[in-house]
Amino acid sequence: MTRTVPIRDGLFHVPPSGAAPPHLIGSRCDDCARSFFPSKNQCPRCSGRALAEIALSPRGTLHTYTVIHQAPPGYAGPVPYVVGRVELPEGERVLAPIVGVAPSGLRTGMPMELVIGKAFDDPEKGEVVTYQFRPAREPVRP
Amino acid sequence: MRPVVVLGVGLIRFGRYPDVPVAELGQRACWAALDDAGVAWRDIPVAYCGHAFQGSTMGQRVLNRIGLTGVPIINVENACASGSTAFVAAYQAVASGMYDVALALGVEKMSFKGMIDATRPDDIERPLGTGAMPTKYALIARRYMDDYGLTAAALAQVSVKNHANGCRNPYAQHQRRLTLDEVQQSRMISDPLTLYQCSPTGDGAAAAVITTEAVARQRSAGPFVRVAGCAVGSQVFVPGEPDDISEITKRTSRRAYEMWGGGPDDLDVVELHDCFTIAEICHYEGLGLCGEGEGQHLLASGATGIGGRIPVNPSGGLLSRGHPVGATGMAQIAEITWQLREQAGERQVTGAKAGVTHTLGGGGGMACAVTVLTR
Repeated sequence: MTRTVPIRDGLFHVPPSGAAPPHLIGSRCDDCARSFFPSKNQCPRCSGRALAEIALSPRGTLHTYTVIHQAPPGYAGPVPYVVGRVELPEGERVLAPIVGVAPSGLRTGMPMELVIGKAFDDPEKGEVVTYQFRPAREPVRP
Repeated sequence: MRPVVVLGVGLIRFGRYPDVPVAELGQRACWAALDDAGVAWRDIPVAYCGHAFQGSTMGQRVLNRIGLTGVPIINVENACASGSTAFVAAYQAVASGMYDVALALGVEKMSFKGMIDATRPDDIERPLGTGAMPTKYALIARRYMDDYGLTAAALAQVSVKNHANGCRNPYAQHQRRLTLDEVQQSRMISDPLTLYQCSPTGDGAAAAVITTEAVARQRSAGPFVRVAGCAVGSQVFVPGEPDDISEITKRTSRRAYEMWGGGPDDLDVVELHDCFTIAEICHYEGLGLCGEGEGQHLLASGATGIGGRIPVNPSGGLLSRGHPVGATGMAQIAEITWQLREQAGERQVTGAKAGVTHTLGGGGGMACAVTVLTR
């Protein structure tokens, strides 16, 4: 079995043996109730210092997207690839790789869901996995 | 604050100078600005140098070549707004009464770099490949296209206009007319942005000498190019939009307009930050040249061409003049100064009396600098 390692600790949580869907780890300001991803130690909106870790909603809508044909330095995955911003019910728009859809099938506003998938293979660490979004397989619940 | 005027400006043609040290590029721009002002370096009491990628004490490396006069040399970094921020800092030094004269310089050598990535080495965006500048602007473009019905062809038209202008500018890096087809058929970088919708990286330098109106009057009868308003801004919290380029432009330009006592309707010429085609459309709106969502119609009407109601980027802008990032803001100052003096040659905007410069820095909207010049 391939060993998988998260691209970075503290970004997402995968419950064991599929008990629940994976979620992004964010933070929520105690003072103004804004939520952020990735987590912050101070609220950039109100400067509050008390933020609590939260599980962000695994579903949202595609706010915008692009198909990248010229990859920047540091990227080791396949090209072309799709990147988008997914708006979560908490208000945060998460910039993430978009998978499971052909470029011609992309539409702003389409429902999306979080998946954890391969970013690239690292010869020493194994398969490096990251948060990604794909078109939601069932409708987003209001 | 004391009235401040631009005494002289100068720049070198933007492009690739593999055999010229960056300090010499800056030196050449300073020579041009000092000669234009009729001022010797030994008479400059303070200098500000904007750059983003050149390492420590860039200003000293340029100005020490011209002469070791011991004056304060202050290096300014604000990403692509570094040069324009250096200009505002120099303005503050003179307007406040601390110095009677100041030199502002923007210099950058980046032909060794490829695509500009806004990430730091440890950013998560780096391995995910989500942090390149074309990507950030492509994401803005896609949303704008869906919100306002902007077509890919209408978007590409920005590049056609600015390259047509750049053909008339001897300082432009790309002095080549492009057809709409050439722009649209060039290599796709980050959909919908093709190669010719992305500003070229390169080398460049530009400088200006500013002084008080009182000092300028001792030298000549004028008329003078006056710094009527200027402002630097940073981000405020916009829900869900870490790369909002419009809010920061609106807020910063309103501050500069307020200081001037004028508004977008009083402008005759604009140099704005068209790092990518979509940026020019958004900044028409941010600077108040038209209403929200109306940018494409303003372009299509011909209003922003030379000879139109409000010409934008007669120099060719970042797309055609080139974008050696720290030098860009100072090149805008030089262009507007020439336009107001009616020295802009084939790209002259007839009767220009008021112009604005606008630069954005840092992966979307981390820094914004706006300056209004009048005569």
